[in-house]
Amino acid sequence: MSFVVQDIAKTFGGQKVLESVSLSVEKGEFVALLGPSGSGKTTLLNIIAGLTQPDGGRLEIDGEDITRLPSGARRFGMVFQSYALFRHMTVADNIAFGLRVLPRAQRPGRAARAEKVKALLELVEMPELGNRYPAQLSGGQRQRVAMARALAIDPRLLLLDEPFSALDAKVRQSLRSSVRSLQKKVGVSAILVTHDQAEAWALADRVAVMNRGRIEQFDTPEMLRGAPATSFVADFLGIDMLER
Amino acid sequence: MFASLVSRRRSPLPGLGLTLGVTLLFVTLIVLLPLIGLGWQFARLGASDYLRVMGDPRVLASLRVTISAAAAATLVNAAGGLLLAWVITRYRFAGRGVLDALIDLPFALPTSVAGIALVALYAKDGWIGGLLAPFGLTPAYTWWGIVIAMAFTSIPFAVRAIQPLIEELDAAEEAAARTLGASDGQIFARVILPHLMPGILTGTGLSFVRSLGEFGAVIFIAGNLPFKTEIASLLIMIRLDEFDYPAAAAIAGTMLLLSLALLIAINIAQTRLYRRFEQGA
Amino acid sequence: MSLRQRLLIGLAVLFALIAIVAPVAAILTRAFGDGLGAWWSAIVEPETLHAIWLTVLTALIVLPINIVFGIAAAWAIARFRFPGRRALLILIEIPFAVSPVIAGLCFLLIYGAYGPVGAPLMNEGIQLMFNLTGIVLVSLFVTCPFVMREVLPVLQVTGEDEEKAALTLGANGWQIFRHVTLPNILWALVHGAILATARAMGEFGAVSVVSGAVRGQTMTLPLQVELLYNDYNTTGAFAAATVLTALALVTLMLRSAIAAVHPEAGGRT
Repeated sequence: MSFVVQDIAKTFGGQKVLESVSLSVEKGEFVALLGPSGSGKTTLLNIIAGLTQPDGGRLEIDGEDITRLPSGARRFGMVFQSYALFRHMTVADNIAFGLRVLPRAQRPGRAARAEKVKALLELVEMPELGNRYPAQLSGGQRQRVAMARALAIDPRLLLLDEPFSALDAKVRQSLRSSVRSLQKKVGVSAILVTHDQAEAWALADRVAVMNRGRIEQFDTPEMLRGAPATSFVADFLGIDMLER
Repeated sequence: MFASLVSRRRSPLPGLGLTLGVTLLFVTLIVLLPLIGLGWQFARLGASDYLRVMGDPRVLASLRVTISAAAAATLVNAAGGLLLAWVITRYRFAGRGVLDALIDLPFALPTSVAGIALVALYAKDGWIGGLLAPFGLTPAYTWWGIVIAMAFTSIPFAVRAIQPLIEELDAAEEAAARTLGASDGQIFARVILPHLMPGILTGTGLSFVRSLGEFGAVIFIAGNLPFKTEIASLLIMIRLDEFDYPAAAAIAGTMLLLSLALLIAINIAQTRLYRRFEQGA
Repeated sequence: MSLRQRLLIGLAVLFALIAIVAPVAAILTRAFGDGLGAWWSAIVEPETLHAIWLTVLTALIVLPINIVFGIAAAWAIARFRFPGRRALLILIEIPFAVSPVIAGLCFLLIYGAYGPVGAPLMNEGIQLMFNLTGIVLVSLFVTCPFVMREVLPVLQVTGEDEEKAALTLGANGWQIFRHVTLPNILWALVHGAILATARAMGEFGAVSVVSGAVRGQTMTLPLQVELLYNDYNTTGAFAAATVLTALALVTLMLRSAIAAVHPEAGGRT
């Protein structure tokens, strides 16, 4: 699997939010979009997810053009910032949702769905909690349910929109490593949107630093820190170095 | 955040065509065309025809009766509404929940039912009419009867518009006034009442507009004597029964324009009042 | 509790007793004054029974149309931006500002035998006013804002994240509505539907303009109350009124119950 973003542009009400953004994700790779708020990273993620239509450019997965493909047909699992769990469904029903809405011919039977839900609950280490409702879970547990729900559709790509921002610092640390190990175990490529450098360093194989609708530099964490390509990247990272 | 706000402009969610289509079809057939019907008939009247209809002393009298009774009912509701809203919001007592729920009864009760109930109460042989009769007072079949019916059907507007503002009152302001030596009366008049003004304005305004158009509850108790206790809505009905559609449209159009103008004025005044407080805060 | 508090509470309760409770009590005493038997025989009068049936029938036709319209309008307004969106919102709320008799008149002027829409249809033998169709049409007008008004704020606060999540998981429009949106708006929808039903069954002024008032045929229950009253059939009128009063009280109780269990759906009038 390889995923390519090519020359994506987007304007909202006369304001250029994305200008010719290009990016590629290799099989099993974990890529982070890092930048300050307003840099366009969330818009880019929404375009990749099919929730926003780009004005120009192309999205490609394994050579297939998916720029105009509807969101649901892309089979990209997305974890929303707010998790967007279905509040009136149990954890198990949340996870099974993507299977339940498949066309009848492709829809797994009840037993097969239950099997899959069970496996996913074990994968995210909450095998006992399938009958709970989202309101009865802790923040960290909710995030893991959102992960399981996204993974249930066997996604071709996993999209994570600031998935740790609603959690307190302690939980954040432990979930980071569990997200990374989950992604490795499943072998799915992932794109993470974050404004937190520590998060990007901890999770990503490569990081795209974004500023004002453009990617300033797209490289490994070591290269970014060792050889920042622009003054913005140096400034943006440097500030963080001082804080640490 | 700006981006996500704007991106709603072209939502990825499906259904715009279907839902907007259904909505426009319904609104056109059920709301827009009927309003156009009245507007069309109203516009077709020449100025002279309009003046002839509206200059009729009986029409003028009905407008006078309607407006004066609606104003009186609104005054009753401003006082009663403030009292009920205050007591329900501020005090805890047995039966408070029931009282709160009962406020909406006039909304829920069909107006013809309210009409015959009020006659039964205020006629000479009714519970309240019987109490008043020895003093030579009989509200039923007089202008006062109209006021009672209008007040009954519109009291919920006054209470429900004032209630949320009482809930939002800042107890600290009252405490501050107290430490500065204000008496209870002064606190109410100078600190509390100004905060409630937008609600009182809206509530009384809506109550007045509702009273202007009230029909069912009024016609039973009014006596419906031309020039004395005949309301404008009834006169529209009478003109309709005479197949004098232009006259009906003239009176109705005038009443509707008056109501809409009032509602718009309330809206503007309310926005201004709120803005003043927000800037002052 | 201070003396003044007691005094104010006493005043408020007295006001509510005189203004709101006494009328209802008057209906009940008049209706049952001649005994339960007299009340029952007044209810089962064929004309009154027919009026009850017509009222229920009207509500049964109006309610589904209202629910579909209310959800569609709320969805379009909450989830999309389009030109004329604000104007549409105002237009939907206008029926609250139009008094009943004027509402009825509006329908007569457009859909009546002499109206620009009614006249051509009349030539085709289709009559819209002075029958059940007319009653249904004005009932739709007077109840048009209720469902939309209750559902819209809930849709606006629940936001669209859950719906977008369902979209990325492959759900189609109907599946999103059925599994994600509907459960969220259900109680607001029920609340709006209850208010609309009560109004549709209780409307008097607007219906009386367009019903044609044919005895035993186009009389809804609120009109039948007037008819019986003007016939000096007091027991009959008040007996019919008890049915509508019961309906009003049930409406209020259902509202309170919904507000207690689902406060997010129990908006105020």
